[in-house]
Amino acid sequence: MLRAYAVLYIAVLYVPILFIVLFSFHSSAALTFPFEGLSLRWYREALADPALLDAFLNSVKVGLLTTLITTVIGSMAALAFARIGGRLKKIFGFLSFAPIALPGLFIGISLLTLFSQLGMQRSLWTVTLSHVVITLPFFIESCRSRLEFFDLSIEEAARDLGARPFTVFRLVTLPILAPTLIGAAILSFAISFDEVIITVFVSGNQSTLPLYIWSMMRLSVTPLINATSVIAIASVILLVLAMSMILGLRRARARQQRHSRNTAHV
Amino acid sequence: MSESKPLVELTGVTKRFGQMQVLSDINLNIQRGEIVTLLGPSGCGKSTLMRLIAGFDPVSGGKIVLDGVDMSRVPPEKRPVNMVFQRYALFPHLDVFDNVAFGLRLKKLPRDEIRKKTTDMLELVQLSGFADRWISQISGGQAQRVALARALVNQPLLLLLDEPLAALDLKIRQHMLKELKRIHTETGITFLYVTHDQDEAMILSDRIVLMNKGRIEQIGTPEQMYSAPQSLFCAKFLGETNIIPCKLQGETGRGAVFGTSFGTVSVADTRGKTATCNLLSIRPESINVTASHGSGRPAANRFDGMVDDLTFIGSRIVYAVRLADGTVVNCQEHRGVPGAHFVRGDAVSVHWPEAAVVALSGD
Amino acid sequence: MSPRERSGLALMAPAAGVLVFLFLIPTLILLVFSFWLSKSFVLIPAFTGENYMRALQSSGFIAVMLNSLKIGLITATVSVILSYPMAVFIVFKTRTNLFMYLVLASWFTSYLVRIYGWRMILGSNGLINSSLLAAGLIDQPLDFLLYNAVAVVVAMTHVYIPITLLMLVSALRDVSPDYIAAAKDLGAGPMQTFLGVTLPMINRGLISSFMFTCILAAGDYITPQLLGGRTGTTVGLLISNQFRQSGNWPFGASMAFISFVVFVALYFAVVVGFRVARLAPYRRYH
Repeated sequence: MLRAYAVLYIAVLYVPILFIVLFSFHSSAALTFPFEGLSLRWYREALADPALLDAFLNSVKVGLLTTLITTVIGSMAALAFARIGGRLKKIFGFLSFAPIALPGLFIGISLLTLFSQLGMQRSLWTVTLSHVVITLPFFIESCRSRLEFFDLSIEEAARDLGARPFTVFRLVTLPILAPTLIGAAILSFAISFDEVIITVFVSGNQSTLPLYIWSMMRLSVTPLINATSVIAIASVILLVLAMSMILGLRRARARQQRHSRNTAHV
Repeated sequence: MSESKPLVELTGVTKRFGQMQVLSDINLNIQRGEIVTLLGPSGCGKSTLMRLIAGFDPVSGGKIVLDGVDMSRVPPEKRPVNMVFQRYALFPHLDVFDNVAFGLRLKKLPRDEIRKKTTDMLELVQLSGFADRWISQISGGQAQRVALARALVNQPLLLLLDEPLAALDLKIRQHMLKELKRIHTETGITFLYVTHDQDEAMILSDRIVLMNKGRIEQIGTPEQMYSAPQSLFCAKFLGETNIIPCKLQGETGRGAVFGTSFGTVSVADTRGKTATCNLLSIRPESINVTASHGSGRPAANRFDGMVDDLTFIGSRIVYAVRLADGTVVNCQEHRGVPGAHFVRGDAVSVHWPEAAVVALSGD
Repeated sequence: MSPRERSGLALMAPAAGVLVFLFLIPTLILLVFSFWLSKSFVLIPAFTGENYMRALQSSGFIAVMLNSLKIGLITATVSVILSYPMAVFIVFKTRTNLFMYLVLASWFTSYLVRIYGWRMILGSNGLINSSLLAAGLIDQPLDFLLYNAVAVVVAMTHVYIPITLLMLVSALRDVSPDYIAAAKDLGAGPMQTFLGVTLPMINRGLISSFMFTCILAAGDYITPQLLGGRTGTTVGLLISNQFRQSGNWPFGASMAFISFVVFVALYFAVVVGFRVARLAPYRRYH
């Protein structure tokens, strides 16, 4: 019973997406049944627009830079959680959660007022900074539980055995936490790549992929939007896979799985 | 570096965390090759003292001298000291071999030497076949040995062991105690061992340092600590004992006679505590229980009572004997022929030798 | 301060700096702005409650606020009710992570695209209407499917339900099956177990899950813009219009803070509600 419900739940989540994919291959301009035939014309048309490539590249740039900033300061912050306590931990925990407890709109308009007060031109830089405001809390939240259980005596053991603080980080802390941090980094990228609610307020002349899609959606409903949407979804999947491969997530996962598999029958 | 000079000299070591005084005025010398135990209840500061010696926390005052060199400002990685952590703190991303070789690799020893030393060490701790196992694949007892090997392979001047057996089952714990003694003998390395378990301390130590509330209560061999506690805390912490309030009645040379609620008790040697003594400690096993012969002739330290309760603990029987005034003393006898013991309600008399009574001052 | 704490502080500093500079300070600026005035796109520093008065006296704002509360509460209620059985399934009935991964993956397929999907499905030339027309069940497209509150609730439920589920799952993970077994052992039926044991234990997580969904829905300005029509407007859309079209930032800021206060009040109302209903933990029953 419950399993059937779960399958239905998943199916409904994916139905709209499946329709979008289906009609992106429609040979006619109609987004209605009956389905008249398959064609790649909308993909050709979408890819013919240089603005799409621009928007895509902008999103990749913003996404990568956001991820880089988030990963560096987010990892540091997550490591800090295992080292501080009491009131400080509470205050920081609140500060690092608040941006995701508020609607994106709130963050968007407050950043808009900040940038205008500072006289900052809105650009991909302001977009990147704004994305960090929400990717950072997501990054910290997704690492925190793992890092809070991180046994600091492991670091002390390494120092005791003759490693200097940075060596400890390189040889012990980082390798142990790498899978968690990589997962959080990829999450940050995916969030940034898809972000539109805040981006609307803080972007300048250069569009990002979601902004480009949104401007299309407000004008019309055509299979061109479907094709563009599918390109966006496919590119985030490909980019995430590429990142996982480059960052060695698969290797790390495989090793962890080997661990757990072997532990099971010991 | 003469042999007579102690390996470790702690002078006036203190430690504060914020407002809290965790250690006050710790003075302790450890000789080469000794096994010294820091024993005490949790929160007594023993683990903190160990962390100070390892260098994880700075001292608030005093000096830590190791092999003649002041270590107070030296970071942990530069101290010739290695530690076995309470929960082992093994590196989960490395296998057994790489865990043990960790310190040697940092010293940039040649590969062959690392291989040889690590293999030898795994042999010493009887884990030769486990070099390729991941940490998640070994048992608690094996993890304990890896932690030991990882520390010992660096040939530290001093090995610190922070409650290393606390997480193990009783059986494995007893076995590991023997193993620790064997390894100590084979390597000759000085051990400083932290525990809250008096049995571990008694079995393992050359000397015990009993700590309480951030201070050293008493230092001595296990035998001295047990038979001649200098404080109420020491008497109660090590083994079972009967504590009886008393009042001085008269001195007899080195000893004295004290009045208690159930009669006068003679003490052979008060160790200079005659004037301040207000408590007597009598170990249950030094009390003799015999059948009462009515109103027999009064003898020193002999009192009549009745068996209130009895408990069998393995080869021993513990009688709770209620004396005339209601005071209950616990007496421990060896279990003799089955059935040949007193039962509840039996009239008995208890007796203990003058030399078995320790005079204490306390509240 | 111990070396450990000192290093913790140093590690925290950059993130704390970013959050203070890009979150705390902007929020304060926005708060200050809400007391300023705007005359023909020029901001005039002042300290006046005029914006707040204007918003609270505007029947349009009040109506939209009530409408967003309605949309938010319905979306959250529907999401929680639909997700609870799923969360139970994921936590207690299956050992595979597949379902969780599939839900999370759907969350990462573009937010915009999923809203667009509903426009495609519900529109007057949409999939439902065209199918019904083709099947001869209707001869006029059903107009009530799109551009109203129902369309907004449907799309928002779809968009935000992965978060609802995620928070419910993490709340349920803290409930050991032993507690449920113990309750049954003591003679509690399924409903008594749920109300007396499970619910008080997941209380916080349930409220967070509910409120999170509610706030996300009420603050969303894109879904209403694409699907909402006149009855599907939310305060999010109203506020964003002040910043993107009318250009009266102080007025928009004041509406944002009024909404903030309203939703904080709603949060506490829900918490108190649970207390009163004796569904919160650490309540004495005697």
